[in-house]
Amino acid sequence: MTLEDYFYSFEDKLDYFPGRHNYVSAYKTFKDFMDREVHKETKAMTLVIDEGDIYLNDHSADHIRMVIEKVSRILWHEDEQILDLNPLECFILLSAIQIHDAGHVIGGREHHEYNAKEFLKRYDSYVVGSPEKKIIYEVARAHSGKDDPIGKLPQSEDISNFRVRMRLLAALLRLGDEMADEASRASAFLFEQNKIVKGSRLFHAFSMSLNSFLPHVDTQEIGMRFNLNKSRCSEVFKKPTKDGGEVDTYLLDEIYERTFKTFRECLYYNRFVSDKLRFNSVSVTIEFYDDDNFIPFFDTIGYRLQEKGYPRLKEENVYALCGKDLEKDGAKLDGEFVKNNMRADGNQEQ
Amino acid sequence: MEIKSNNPFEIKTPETNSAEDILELFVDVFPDFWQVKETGHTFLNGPRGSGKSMMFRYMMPDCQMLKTGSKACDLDYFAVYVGIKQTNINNTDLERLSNHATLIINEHLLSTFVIANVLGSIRQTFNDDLNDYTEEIRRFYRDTFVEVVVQSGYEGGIEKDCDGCEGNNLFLRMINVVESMEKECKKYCNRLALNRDLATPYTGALTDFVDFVSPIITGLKQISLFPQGKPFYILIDDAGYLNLAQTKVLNTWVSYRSTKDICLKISAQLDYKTHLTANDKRIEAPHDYSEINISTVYSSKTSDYNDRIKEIVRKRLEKYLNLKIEPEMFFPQDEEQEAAINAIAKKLAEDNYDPERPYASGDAARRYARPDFIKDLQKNHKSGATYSYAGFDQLVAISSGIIRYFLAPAQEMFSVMVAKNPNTEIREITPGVQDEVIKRYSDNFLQGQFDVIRKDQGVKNFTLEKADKLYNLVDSLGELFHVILVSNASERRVFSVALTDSPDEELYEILDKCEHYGYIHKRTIGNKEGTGRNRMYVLSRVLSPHFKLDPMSFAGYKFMDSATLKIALTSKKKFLQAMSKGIAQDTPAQPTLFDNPDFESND
Repeated sequence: MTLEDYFYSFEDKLDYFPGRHNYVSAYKTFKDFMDREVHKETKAMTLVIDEGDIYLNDHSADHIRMVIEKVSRILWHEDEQILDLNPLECFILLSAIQIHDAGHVIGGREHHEYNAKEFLKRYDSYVVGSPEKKIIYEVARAHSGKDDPIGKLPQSEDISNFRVRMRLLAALLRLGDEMADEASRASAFLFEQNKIVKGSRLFHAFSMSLNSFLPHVDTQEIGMRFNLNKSRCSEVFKKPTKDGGEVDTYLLDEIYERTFKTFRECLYYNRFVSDKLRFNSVSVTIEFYDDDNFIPFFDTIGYRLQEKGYPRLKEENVYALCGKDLEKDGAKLDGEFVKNNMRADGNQEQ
Repeated sequence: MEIKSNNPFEIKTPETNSAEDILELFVDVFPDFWQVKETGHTFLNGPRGSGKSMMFRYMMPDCQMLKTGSKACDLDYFAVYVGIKQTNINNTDLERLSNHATLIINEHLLSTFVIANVLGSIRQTFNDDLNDYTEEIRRFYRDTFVEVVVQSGYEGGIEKDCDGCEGNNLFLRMINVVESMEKECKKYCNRLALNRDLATPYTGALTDFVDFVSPIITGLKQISLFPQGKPFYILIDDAGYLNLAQTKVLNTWVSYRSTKDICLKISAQLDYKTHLTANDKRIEAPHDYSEINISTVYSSKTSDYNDRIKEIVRKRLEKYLNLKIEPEMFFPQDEEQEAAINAIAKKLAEDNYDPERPYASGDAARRYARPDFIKDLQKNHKSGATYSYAGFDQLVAISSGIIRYFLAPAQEMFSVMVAKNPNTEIREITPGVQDEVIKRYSDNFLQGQFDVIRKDQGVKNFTLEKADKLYNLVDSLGELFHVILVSNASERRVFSVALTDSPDEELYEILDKCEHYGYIHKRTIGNKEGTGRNRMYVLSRVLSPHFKLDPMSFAGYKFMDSATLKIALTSKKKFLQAMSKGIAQDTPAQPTLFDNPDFESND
């Protein structure tokens, strides 16, 4: 059972929703609109807006289905109950999943998360009020960005006495989206025909090589399994850099980098969920064989990303970590500074 | 000839004063509160009447332009005033939202209220001068304002075309739109109040800091009317009136640390509800904001409070009475009383002369002359003589760091003088009138204020029982300090208690209320063991005439545990009995510094 199936099971149980409104019916109508009018256009519109520089991997309704499936797997437990989420939270999460990438259609790839608000106007306002729409938008918006977007959300907000845990929902969406990246998301045929723009080719190669990407709730581990053939393994890809340039990259090196990113996303997600929902490690298996003979041409690489030893921080000292808190007029607030700026009369120097 | 005298001490609401009046009357207190003008978020705490609103008014662009003689674009910052007390965004109907999108709706109300005030404040300051910037204002309107309003889900309709609209009118149009967004939400809240059914969803616009306040302020800043590259200061006055959700929202705004563009200057009357944000993180000084407690600054030894009041009085006397005299001349002391006290001081100095301890004689004179005089008066009370609280220095000391506590009684003194001396130019307030009025003011400060507290009970979750305990506590402390003053204890100038342990919840709440209503202010001091700090509670010197205390010399403090202090909540008599062991009643006054372990000097 997916999160969506679980949510649909409440279609006749309106006591579970604010104002006894039929949120299930509203969602179905909205989903239908998104499927017909928005998701299938995402890639095409990005091509137009980004002037052909980018050829995204799948952002269609299939990607939405995959996010829902990954989130469902995170929430899935042996008793087949969707853990903890109330029906209104399911509604908010599913709606946020529907719109999380849709902003591409309006404004392109950059800050696409800010453009998604427009679609929510399609919801019947008699059923879904502005506060719910705002919550959906906020949860969806936090699916990307590194400036702690989930931490900036309120822990929860109540809608007509129904609690909505915004951070939990945003964390689920963000990790589900991270994990919704498998071979099916790549444009394999175009890749083989060498029809994908060079700046996007590496990302499609990554998706094509990712055989499985699954959360294991029993061991609280995320498993990633890759298969590299000789061709992809030996190709030197052009990876775009932030300054508009490009850098030569092997797919294996990209896999190392992306699995590390997944682990970082995992740690970020863990901040906002309860113990039982956490994932403490990412287990990676990389196999090397060609599709036509399945004979390994290199020994399988396996590694586990997990926190170990004494906690380490990227920043090496308190000044780097705390930034402006320990600066005054651009100078470090160190012992020397304080000694040289001590005041005699109790008034701060101005 | 009829002499018309404007009362020089009249207290006007700063917001309604003209920039010219403010400039003439304002005494620069920013050296004491420099953080307020600095870039960064600031909390300014102080009781009612401590000068917070005056500071904010002085920071407004009309005053700053007049003061510096420069244009708005050359100012160091651009300040806009947002008075919370004047608003009804915190109406009781909003309490009904407690389980319905509380944070979202309250953030919308606060965002629209702030932006409506920002736009209104700019329009009020510049009026038709805005027309000189019409093109830039139109660009802001088209590119930013319309965009964020549409994004907020506003369905009231917004006219995108602005080609025929001048700057001033465009500002009016924007104000109307924002106020309409606010009203739309208020109407919904009112509907909820009438109909408990939450089934009707709110379908109007929703705004917040990130998508509404910030882009609007950042967009406005681009207009060349405003100082380029300098922040907007949003002066949020009386933030204690915000409800809990709005307070959390405001704290969330503080936590964004967007001080490059927007600095929030937040004042409260020691009643700010929480420092938690909407996501239940705590904002803290100094890394999220700087904090000023006016009472603490002005009760510290280094404060220049006395000089500030002198300057205020000088300015007012000159402006309203054309009098260029020193404040001490206008508020003369009771010379006969001072002569008597000086005589006692001289005798004490002689009696305590010790060549091996050269400081002892002066110390004794300073410590005991005034208390001994008060004690003598008390012994001879049948003569009718009482201690006089006249004299500028005494009145300043009594005002306890709160400017209004000086101006309000001074205003009344002046009125009494005018009534007693019609058709006469008032060139001083006689000691008799000063004493009469300040004693009445002190009595009213306790009694009148207490009536307010009793009325507040229930409304602010403060029960009548607690209100009575609050009164008992203040009354007991005042009485204790008076008993100590007229005792033979080595340190008689006690006006504070330092707790050796933490107060329980009830005592803490009542002490908090005492501070809020201005009966006490809080400080901390190092404990006797030198291992940490203790809470110290200082009785307001406004109460010194009521309790017959010496306002000039609140130097010592009394250590006690919170269990003892709690006795004062219910019984003054038992509290004084419990404390009597520490007070030397019969010991001859032979001063030795710190010879009583229960007392510490704060000199």
